Amino acid sequence: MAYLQVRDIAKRYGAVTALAGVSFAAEKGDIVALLGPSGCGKTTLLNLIAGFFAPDAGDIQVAGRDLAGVPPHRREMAMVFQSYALFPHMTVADNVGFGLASRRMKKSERTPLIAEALAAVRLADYGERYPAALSGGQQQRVALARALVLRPSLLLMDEPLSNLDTLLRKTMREEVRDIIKRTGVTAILVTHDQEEALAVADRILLMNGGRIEQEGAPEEIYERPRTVFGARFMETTNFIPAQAAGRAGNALVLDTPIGRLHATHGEAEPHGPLTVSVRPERIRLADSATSATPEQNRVTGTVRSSTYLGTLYRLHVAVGEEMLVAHVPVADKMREGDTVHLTWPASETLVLTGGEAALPAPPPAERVP
Amino acid sequence: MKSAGVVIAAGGPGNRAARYGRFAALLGPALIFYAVFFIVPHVFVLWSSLTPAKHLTLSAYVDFFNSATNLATLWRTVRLSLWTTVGTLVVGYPLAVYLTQPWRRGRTLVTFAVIAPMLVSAVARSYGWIVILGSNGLLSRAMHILHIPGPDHLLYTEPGLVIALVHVFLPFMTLAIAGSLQQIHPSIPRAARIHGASRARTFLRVVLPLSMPGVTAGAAIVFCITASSFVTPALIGGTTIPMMSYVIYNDSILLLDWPSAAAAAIVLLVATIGIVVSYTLWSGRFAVANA
Amino acid sequence: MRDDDKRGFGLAVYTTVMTALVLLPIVIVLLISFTASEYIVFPPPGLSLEWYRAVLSDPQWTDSLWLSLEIAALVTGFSLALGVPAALALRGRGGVLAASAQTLFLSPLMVPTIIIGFSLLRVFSMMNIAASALTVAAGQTILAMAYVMRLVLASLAGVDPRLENAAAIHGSGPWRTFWTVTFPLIRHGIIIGALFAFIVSLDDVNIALFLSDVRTSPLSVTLFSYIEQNADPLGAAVSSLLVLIAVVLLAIADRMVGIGWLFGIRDGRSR
Repeated sequence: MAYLQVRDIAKRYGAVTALAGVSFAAEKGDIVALLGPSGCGKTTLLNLIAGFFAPDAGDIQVAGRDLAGVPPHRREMAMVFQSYALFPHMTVADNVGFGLASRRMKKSERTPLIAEALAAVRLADYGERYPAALSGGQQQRVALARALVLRPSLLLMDEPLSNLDTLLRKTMREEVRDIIKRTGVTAILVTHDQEEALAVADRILLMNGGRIEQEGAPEEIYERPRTVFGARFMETTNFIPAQAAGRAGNALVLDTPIGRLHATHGEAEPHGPLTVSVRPERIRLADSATSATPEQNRVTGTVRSSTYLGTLYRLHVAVGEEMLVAHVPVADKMREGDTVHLTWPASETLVLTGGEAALPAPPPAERVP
Repeated sequence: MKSAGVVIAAGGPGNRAARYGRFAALLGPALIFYAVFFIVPHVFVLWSSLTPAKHLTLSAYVDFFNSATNLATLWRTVRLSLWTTVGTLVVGYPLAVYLTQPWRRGRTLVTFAVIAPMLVSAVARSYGWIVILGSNGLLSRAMHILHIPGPDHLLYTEPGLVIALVHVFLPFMTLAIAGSLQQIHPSIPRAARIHGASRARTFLRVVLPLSMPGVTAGAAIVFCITASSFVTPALIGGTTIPMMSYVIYNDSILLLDWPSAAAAAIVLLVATIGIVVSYTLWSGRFAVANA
Repeated sequence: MRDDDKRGFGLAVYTTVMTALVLLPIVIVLLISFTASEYIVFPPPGLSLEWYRAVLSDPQWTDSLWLSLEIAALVTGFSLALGVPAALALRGRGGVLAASAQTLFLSPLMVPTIIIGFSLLRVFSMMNIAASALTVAAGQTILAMAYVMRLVLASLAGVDPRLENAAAIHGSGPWRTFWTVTFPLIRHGIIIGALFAFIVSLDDVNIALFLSDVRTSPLSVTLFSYIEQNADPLGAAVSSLLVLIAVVLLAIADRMVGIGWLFGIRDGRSR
């Protein structure tokens, strides 16, 4: 059985369903990201795992131990909070040693562990300072040290990097992953930032409306979203409504407003409304001689706008009633009104369940209880 | 958190002189009012306490401290104020905790109950306490029924007065503590819980220390207003156990001995401010650099 | 099973008991005011409105009541007119001058109120100023204004200066910015400040005792002197009238802004 086992967890707040039966598992040493927009239930799920809230249904097990009724302080977990939640009235060293002291460890035993933890986050000389005297990035690392010094059964992280500025956030991603991997702790990361999930996690649970929309390795979540929501969240653009129209070899044939397209992956025989998607960077410009094949899709359109982005041009191309976005090398400079032929492989064509109309309304403001 | 910017708008984009003009226009009337009706009279009281005769002398103070009755009253005032402060702290802290837990039932009613005494005249509340504490009052009857031995009434006794004073000044303490508890982000106690602290330890090591600014502020204000309270001691304590405010009232209005009343006022002022300032400094030693 | 931070049955019991105890003296006064008895007996042997009739038909009491309301209105007006501009001037200002001014304005909350009354009496009598509604109002304004300043400064602290800067950058002058941005955001503080000013004046004895005479004695002072001398249910009826006025004012303020604001207690599940 997996190290962390979450089964059919449900939680309601009054009339609002925060979680509607969520299950997942994590192996020891994994970093699992709970990814989704505000209000998707990811923070609630984390708080349930921490034991701050009790689930209405379902159970949570760590290393075979059922945690129902176990109060937070007996779960042997640790957590990095969104605003770090460092104790403002304690020094950095006391903050880091807090959990050890809670476990009644003697001061003489604590001191070397605190020093070691602070050294691990490159704050060896900061033990006597107060949190208010540290920068955001330093506070973040203190929070991490306070958690990791406990060798927790599970490390919980609630948007740990969201309070940092963009540049620092990017370097901290690698550093956080590095530190966690070195200690070998199993970690759950809650985030709304897809890049952060991709960079830090081993597995990603994409959540939407209190359910898990898709689960998989970062590459899979990024490259192979299964739903329109997933694709949107992974910042895919270009969505074209489609109908399945049979098969050609191992490719699915799709009728769309911009013509017949082929896709070589996705569910065998999808039913109902579908959406076809392709990432802008997968689209190439073709010359007029090539023609569509089951391996290669091809459409013709008119350039509506061309934006210079330094390393590439972003083209908006009108194809019939649809608008496609394509990223092309700067060498292929295009002007507005030019006729262009766009081509992309059937293997890069995503078939998503749900039509454009199935897109969820913008999520309500996050209900953090 | 520090505010992110300075208000340009209130100061306006005008030049320095214009901004100072606006500052003075806003602040001036209040400053003048305070100077005339607050500072000058206090200075005047200090002056008249030093000039019982035509020249400067400390004789009014010497007389005050030579009177065993006055010293007993001063000591009683300090003692009862301390007891009242401790009483409001013990009674009020749990109420403040309750008020700051959003999920609690009937918070509106409790909020109302906590402020109600603040908005109801001290005379009216003291009247209620006369009925409860008086001879054959509710309390002595209840004690009789429960076979608890005790005096037949608590009116005109120090314990009775402290009970009434705690009731009167409870809102100030509760609100001060609630204000400070409200500042504690909920993730802070949660951080203690998830890192292994029991509920008791979370309270003692995290919540309580972080609420100390509220406790200090509440204690300072309760001590001050108790030491200078007049209505409740006059009605519940009567003339048998007078407090300092009664001495000032008695010397001035009834005996028309202005220098004595002024000296008593200055002694009360210095005693309360002295105790509060030293307490605040002492408790400040434990405050942390979490500004 | 309950969420981790939603425990504490003991605290709920304690709070219930304490809430009852806190309200008890006030409830007793209300009950006794309706007694049919000549004496203070609890519980009342029978109910009547006799004591209210006695109060409201006696000009000594009714004059006193109207005077009290007049003084309270004056105090509310004075303390808002002086306190709100001063709070605006001091807002977010560092420096020794501003800090001392703020300490000065808030100090009447700590200085014994009886000394405020006593010291003003000395000055007024030196200058041969006779006791009147105005002398009482001047003294009480010192105390009431401290409450107004505190509440208004507290609500100003919650106003992000960037909002006003945004108004300014988009062409709004200081006056317009105040009325369209600042004032709506500090309405709470001003209304609750007015409530406190009115009630501080209505309930004050310590200051008014020194600054009024027999003809200009407000209700709280008249009542205080009466209770000192007499033990009958009439005092309860007058006390109940004071309670009633406070409750009505509180209800009005609650209607306008929500009284919970006062304690920084937000509604619903905050955070």
